[in-house]
Amino acid sequence: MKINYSKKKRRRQIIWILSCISLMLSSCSSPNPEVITTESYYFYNLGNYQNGFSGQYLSDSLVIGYNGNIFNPDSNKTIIATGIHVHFNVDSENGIIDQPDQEFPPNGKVTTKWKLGVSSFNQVATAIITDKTGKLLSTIKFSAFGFQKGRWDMISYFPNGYPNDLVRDTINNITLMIQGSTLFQQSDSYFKWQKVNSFSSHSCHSIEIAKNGTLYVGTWDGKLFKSTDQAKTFSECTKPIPEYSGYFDLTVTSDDKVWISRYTYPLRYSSDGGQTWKNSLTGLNTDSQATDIFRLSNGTFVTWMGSSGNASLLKSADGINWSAAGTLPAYTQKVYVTDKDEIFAFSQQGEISAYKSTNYGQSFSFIHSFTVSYITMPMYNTVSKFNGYYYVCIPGAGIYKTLNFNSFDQTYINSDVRSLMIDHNGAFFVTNFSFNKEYTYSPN
Amino acid sequence: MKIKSAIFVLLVLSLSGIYAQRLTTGILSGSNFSNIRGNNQSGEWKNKMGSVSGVWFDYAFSPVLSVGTEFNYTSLYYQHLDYQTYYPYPTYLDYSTIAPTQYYYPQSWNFNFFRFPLYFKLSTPTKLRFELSAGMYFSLLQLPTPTYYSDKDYPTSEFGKIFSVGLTYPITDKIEIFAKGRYISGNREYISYNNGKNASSELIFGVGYSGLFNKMKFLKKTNYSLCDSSDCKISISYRVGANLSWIETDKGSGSYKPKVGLTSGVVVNYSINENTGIQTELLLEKRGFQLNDSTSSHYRFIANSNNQNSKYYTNSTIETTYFTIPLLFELKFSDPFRVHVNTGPYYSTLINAKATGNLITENKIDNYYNKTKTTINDNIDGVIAPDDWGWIIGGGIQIPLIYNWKLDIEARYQTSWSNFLVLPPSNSSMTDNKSTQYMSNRSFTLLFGLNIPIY
Repeated sequence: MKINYSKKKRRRQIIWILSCISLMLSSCSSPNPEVITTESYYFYNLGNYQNGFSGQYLSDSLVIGYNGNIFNPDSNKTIIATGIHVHFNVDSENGIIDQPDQEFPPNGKVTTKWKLGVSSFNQVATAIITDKTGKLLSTIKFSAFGFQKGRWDMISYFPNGYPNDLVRDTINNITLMIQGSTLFQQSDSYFKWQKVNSFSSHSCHSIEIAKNGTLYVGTWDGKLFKSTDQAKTFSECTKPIPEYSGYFDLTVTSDDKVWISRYTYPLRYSSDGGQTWKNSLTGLNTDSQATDIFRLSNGTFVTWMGSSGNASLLKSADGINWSAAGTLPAYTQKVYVTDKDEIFAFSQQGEISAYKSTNYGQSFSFIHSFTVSYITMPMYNTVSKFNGYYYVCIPGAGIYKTLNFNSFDQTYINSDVRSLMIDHNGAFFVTNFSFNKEYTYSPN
Repeated sequence: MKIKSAIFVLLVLSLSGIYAQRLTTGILSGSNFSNIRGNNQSGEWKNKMGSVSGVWFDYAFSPVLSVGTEFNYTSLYYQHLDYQTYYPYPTYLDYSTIAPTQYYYPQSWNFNFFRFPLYFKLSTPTKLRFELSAGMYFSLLQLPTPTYYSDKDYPTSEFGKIFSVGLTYPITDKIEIFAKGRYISGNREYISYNNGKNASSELIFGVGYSGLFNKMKFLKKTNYSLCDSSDCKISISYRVGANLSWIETDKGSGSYKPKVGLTSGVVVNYSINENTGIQTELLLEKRGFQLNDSTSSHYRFIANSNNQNSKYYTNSTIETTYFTIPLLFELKFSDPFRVHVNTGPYYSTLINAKATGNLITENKIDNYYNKTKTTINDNIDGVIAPDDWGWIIGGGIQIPLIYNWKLDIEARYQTSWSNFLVLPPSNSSMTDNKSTQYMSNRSFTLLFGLNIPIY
């Protein structure tokens, strides 16, 4: 059999075969693996976590800005995303937003004012951001804290939630507080704090104020600083324990002596504003730490030490040689001395009991018992005097007010309280058991 | 018209005569396309092209059966492309970047081998011979050119399997030319990156000469005759067709859709009597499925992929290539169209598995939103079971052609009894923390073939 093909037919067959081969080869190839960002938005915001009075405008506006790009892989072009819209949403308890609906200028920002609601402390405004097709791009929550005088408010947002130590200067009307390990000064409201820039590089542990207005700040690395101009400037004192670089207990007695105590090191004091230091020589056991040091009206210094439930009151005429002044009630955790030289001891045995001595600690008599939810050791800032009243913070129970320690009025019931501080205007700052919340109260 | 012409030319070329030289030798040359076997899970292994050249020898026991060997020099090149992020504009984290950037870290390996295959070959006893061979090879590694830092010591030799199909045509009494497609698969691990073993597809061309020993009596040309009656016991058939394959699964079955693929191969049929027979086949099948759902995986549905921060929209095609060997029992019913049904088990071995397509991802994290388009191109052999077995049931007809040849038309349903997946460990980021997920191959295939009786 013989087959004749014309050249035209052969050419058609070759083209047909080549086309098939090309189609097969092209179907085998596939694009390289890759990830292309086709849309990208970054939203920044300002004005979050402000403190303000409930029912009033926050001092700073809420601000949202964006940077957005859209890439078209086909044309290999990038354009700025436009038509971005924001809607601020607040419910009735969280106040009102002045301009709840706004469109961003290209890669720009929008601002609005927020008037807080009156009924709740923690308030939230939600910014819902969409593109021009209505697609949700981001949800940004603004939180604010609406403080109200005459009401206890709880906050746990730094710096307010982490008070550690506080001093008030009622002459110059300033209050300073160590929150976390940063020194802050109270500004125009009891809940507003500004970092003390002159001391911002130091990690603060404790703060005290002398009667002459000198501020002393102890740091976590064993240094002591002082300020004689209401925290505008600080200077470093002679290192109290030269061979030690950790934190210590800092006390200033009514004669402006500065006392430094730390386990394993002798108790020491400075009577020249921290330039020189004198160590105690006898009568003190360095296994314990003198946490409460007072000066009686006759010039005698008293402190206490205890271990395994036994506690002793110690006295010294010169701060160097100490001797026993009396026996404290068992399981004493705190000692406080009033301006009238009355010595109060607080012991914990299931409940907290208060004892009183009017004979310089030779004997103590029971005066009151406080039912508590749990045992708390150690006790820090337990008694604070303001406007003639003593305010006693009983951990696991609440805050009690007394004029003379004979009768107590419970002004705040809260089993979570641990340490009490009062500013120069009489606002209360109470830490919780774990030192990560702050209960705040300001009288009307 | 074109298809008719092509079939007609094929028939004419095939019917011109029957040749069978006892000893044939020649040279071959061609290209290979690397297709590494390993625990690949993501990124693309490029099908890099290398070269093959050598000499070959064939000894024919009959027009149908022969044994062959070869000495060739083969270059194998591998390249992996991992996923890299393309930043078309500066991001807020990187304003210093001005020009669009795209980062690839190609990892490549180059190997050269001396190979010695030994194989058995089945041929159609026609002038234009369709040939099918299977065998083993031994190879020696020439010094490699590694470019991947962690590979230091390579095996100096390996054994492997070799399969080929092709066409041979005698252009003179003693000279023939051929074109073959081959698949080779080694047994030693050469690439530590993915525990990869050598594998490649080859397209080779060659020339053979059968006049070297024609003076020797026992090697002189022998004439054979084809079975030309209806009593033939053995026939072979070259088949090609299309399959519609899909997946059965216990999780997210609504996420998958069927896919169309090609099936081709050779069938050997043995008639026990007039109404029964046994049939075995060697088929190259492209199966798979489509995945279309909100899942972060490129190749399977993972529940709860979407969360508050991320949303996924996957649209991918999973294509698996298998060599399939069925063993079917056949019942034949009547003339003239020889209606038949057959059924039996099959075994498939995975050649490669790929996932291609797109994944759109939306991320909303804090104050940042981005939308990405991922071009999926994964070699996923590492997560697909290397073996698949199950059952076939089918039926068809045979339309008589000239010279007792027949046109086969057959349809079959194929169901797998094994799990399609090899799941990664449960602590892997690729899992949905569920230890098992059952997926199983299914397919419906329509095949057309040219049936040629042999004995």
